[in-house]
Amino acid sequence: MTHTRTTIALALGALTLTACGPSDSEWSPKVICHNANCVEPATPKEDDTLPALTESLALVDSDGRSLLDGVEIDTFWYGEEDRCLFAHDLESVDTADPIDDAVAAITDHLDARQAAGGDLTRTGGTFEVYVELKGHVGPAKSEKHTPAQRVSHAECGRDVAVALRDAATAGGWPIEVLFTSFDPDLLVELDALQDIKDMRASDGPAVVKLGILQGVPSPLDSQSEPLSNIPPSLDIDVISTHPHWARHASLEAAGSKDWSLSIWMFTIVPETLDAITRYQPDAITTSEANALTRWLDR
Amino acid sequence: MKPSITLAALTLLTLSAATPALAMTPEAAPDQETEQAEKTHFLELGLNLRTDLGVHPIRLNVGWRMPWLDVALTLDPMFWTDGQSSTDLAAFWLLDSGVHPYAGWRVTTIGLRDGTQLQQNLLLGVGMELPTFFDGLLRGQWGLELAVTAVKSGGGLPTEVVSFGSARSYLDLVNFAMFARFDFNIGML
Repeated sequence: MTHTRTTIALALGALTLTACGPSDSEWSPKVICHNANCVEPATPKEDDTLPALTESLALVDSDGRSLLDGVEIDTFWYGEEDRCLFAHDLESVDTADPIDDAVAAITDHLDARQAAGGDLTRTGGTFEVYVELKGHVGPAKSEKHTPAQRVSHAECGRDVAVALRDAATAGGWPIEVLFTSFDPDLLVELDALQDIKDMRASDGPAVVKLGILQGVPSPLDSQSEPLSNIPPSLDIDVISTHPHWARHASLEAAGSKDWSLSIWMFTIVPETLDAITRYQPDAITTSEANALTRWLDR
Repeated sequence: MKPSITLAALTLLTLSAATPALAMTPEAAPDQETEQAEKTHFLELGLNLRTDLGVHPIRLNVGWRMPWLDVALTLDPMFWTDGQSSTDLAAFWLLDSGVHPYAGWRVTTIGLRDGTQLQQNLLLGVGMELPTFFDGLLRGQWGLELAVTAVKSGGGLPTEVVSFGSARSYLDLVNFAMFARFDFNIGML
């Protein structure tokens, strides 16, 4: 009897361990620098600042390979002064840099990498610039754009894309510009501009795509819109979502529309890593490029 | 059937087959049952089951249960599947109402290329006693947990301490979860 029980226990234990086994995968997501600030330790107050952007773009591994496949820059329409800022919010409005300076820092970096003969990206593909159009114009997230502000903000985004396209043409390197926003109306306004239409129809050197952002859902936060609020005429390419708050049904819905999946996060914890493993997104936006790439390469 | 459920069933069967208390012969059973009922301190061996993403779905409990306090160490046998592990040490206050407030500490290891990052987590939660089986030999508990990642260190990366200055600093570091525990209680004292 004792032998039988011991044998059963050992057999079941072995079966359990076998069932837990790791699986192989060729999947290699793109790593995008969150808020132009992904040098550890993550310091939110340095988000969307030129020093953090420059330091982030310079991140390389021990072989000199870039840690990044792209960078996210935030454009904030400062309603009170009708200015387009390179900023996450208005906490440091007095010191916020113009968005043109952020674009110049990116193009200078790509020109330098190209001149040095190194790969432009970690995975060897096209460098991606995520341009987030912030959905509010004042200190509170509930302060939404007026129609006129929406047009102005869209034109600011258009100017970023045009500048990147011109630099890519001159530099001889390709680039992908993904415009993202929690507010689909901003993307609609942007998509109506002729330069954007032209770039979305062209094959390069600058490819323009549109992405919808999802985070803490309503009513807990006023930013995320239900997918049903996205106008059917808006040709979304990417959904960029936070895995702690994303519902599986939403991801399934996005997948059924053939939207590419991008995951964003503030900091690495087991929950985010598990979601990355489960959903295998095409891109990950992180504030910890060193830790994330070393986890991906483990 | 979900793999995690299958794994839980397999592991539970493994434990039940290996647990001496359930391997009693029919003649010995009455005496042992009486002894079990008179005991006030129990060795616990069992499972800690999750569906959330913060730890592996199946971990093993080793605990010591006293009349008013239950101290449990939770070990992670699935560490080798992905290079991550979560080890908990928690103390449950066993109130007569069947409500068990608890506090504990979790050490999570995250495998990186050329290193391992450690994440230290404060655990606060409450467990609810579930019905017992086999004259108290098998006890269950359902719980709600708050885990706060307080410190990240190691792996050649800068040490980070949780900050509440900006939502971006802590939003990912504060997480809720639910769990179920099932433990065999072996009378010791």
